[in-house]
Amino acid sequence: MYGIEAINEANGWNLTILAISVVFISLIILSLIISQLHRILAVWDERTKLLPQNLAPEKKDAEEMRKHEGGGKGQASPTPTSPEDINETTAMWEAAAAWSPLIERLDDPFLLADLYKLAAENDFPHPHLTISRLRYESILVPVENQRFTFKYERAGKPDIQ
Amino acid sequence: MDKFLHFISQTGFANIELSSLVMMVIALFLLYLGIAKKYEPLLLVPISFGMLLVNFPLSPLMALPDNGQPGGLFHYLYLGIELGIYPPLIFLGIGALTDFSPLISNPKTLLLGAAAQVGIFGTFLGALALGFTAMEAGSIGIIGGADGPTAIYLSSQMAPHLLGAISVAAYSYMALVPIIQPPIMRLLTTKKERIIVMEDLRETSKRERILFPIIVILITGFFLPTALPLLGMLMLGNLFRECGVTERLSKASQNELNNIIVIFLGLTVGAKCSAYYFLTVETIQIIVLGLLAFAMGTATGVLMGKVLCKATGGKVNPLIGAAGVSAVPMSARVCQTVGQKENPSNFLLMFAMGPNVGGVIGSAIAAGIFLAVL
Repeated sequence: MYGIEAINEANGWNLTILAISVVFISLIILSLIISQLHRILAVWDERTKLLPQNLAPEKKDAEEMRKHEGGGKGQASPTPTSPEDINETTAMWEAAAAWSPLIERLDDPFLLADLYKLAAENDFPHPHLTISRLRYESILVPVENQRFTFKYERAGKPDIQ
Repeated sequence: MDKFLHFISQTGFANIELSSLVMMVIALFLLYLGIAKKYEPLLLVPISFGMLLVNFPLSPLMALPDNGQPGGLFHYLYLGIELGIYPPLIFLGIGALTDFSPLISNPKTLLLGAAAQVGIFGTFLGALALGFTAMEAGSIGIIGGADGPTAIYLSSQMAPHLLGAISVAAYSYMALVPIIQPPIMRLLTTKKERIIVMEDLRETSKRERILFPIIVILITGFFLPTALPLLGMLMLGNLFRECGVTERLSKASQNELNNIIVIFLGLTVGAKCSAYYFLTVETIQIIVLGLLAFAMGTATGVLMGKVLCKATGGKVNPLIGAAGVSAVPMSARVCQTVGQKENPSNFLLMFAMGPNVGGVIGSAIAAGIFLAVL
């Protein structure tokens, strides 16, 4: 059997239309999803802004930090005013020095989520507290799109006499 | 004297046939094209040498096991094609070698990859009209995808007796991309369209590149499970490349494994080109239909490029549609060459890589459809 008759016999027209439709539909869906992928990732990175304030990780971190520093009373001082503060600030810069090799392994600027993940993988203690404090000391500084940079010049141990 | 006569009867000279001699000449010609003209040498050299070896009279290389004696070397190597092992492993290497960033940053070019597959289905109809069975027609049509491993995979599953002709046609046309495509591209586009300079692609993040193979598999796997052997391996190879924690596996897929499989695949495809299977009217029909499939795929890709050009207000150069036939990266290079002839400051290569790798995905999906419905 040859020609149109052979095509009809094998359901060629239907098969062709079905096949072309499947190729186009699957690739159009794929194209749509891929075109939105970077937006979805950007939303994911900004989830802390989109979530209600009481669920935002930064807020929880801040509360945890305040609790740690004084039972939730008052703000931590940016400059040392007592020997205890000096000791704590010194420990902060030691922590910064300990964290800097970890941060070197990330792209610059980086996402805090990546830093948390890396800290957890390397068993760094109290990552939320430390990161919050590094931010407070402006050693970790936000730059753009929820990304942060690490100010190495500020992470060096200060000359505290 | 008897022993001498027996020895003579066991030589190739005493058993030579004209058809085998013709096949040996074809094999030597392909070997010449591969070595001297550098037409797909990594494939044509092993294919043509395999073809040469099996066409010697009394060649034991494809012999079946008999009377407790083991079969020939190629008989066992051929199991890798028969069982559908080699083409997916080649796809693993292709995935590890391919940077999908141009496609991720400009995903609408996937439509060009889809449009270029129309040639496959047009040729499927043509092959049916010439009297081929539906399975044979599907295997012939897939030549239009310009994707050797896909053509081999599909024909080994659906029409193994046509494997030699189909694979030789597929690889020959892939090698002839710089000759076949430019006239069609120029015929279907105006000079004004050919000089269009496209906007720079945005940079893709590492996370996008890691998520891409996973998303592709999640979508196509549900749509078309029969495409998973090819697409699954393609995307696994790409995940090895992009995830950043499997560098050794990525390198092995790109180099050692890929090269070994290319040798086995080439030799055994050549081994299927014995005179008995190859010197037939069907082979000539397949060669002609393959050319038709390839030309049609190029044309529909360019036409979709024109549609995108209109839809985007002239931001897409329609020439890149020709790269929708897989043939990575040769057809993308052809787009670059044709575009640069019209506008020497135009660099279309990276833009053409989007539809080019989209075409690989599209032709694997087309193969999956044939496997599912035929």
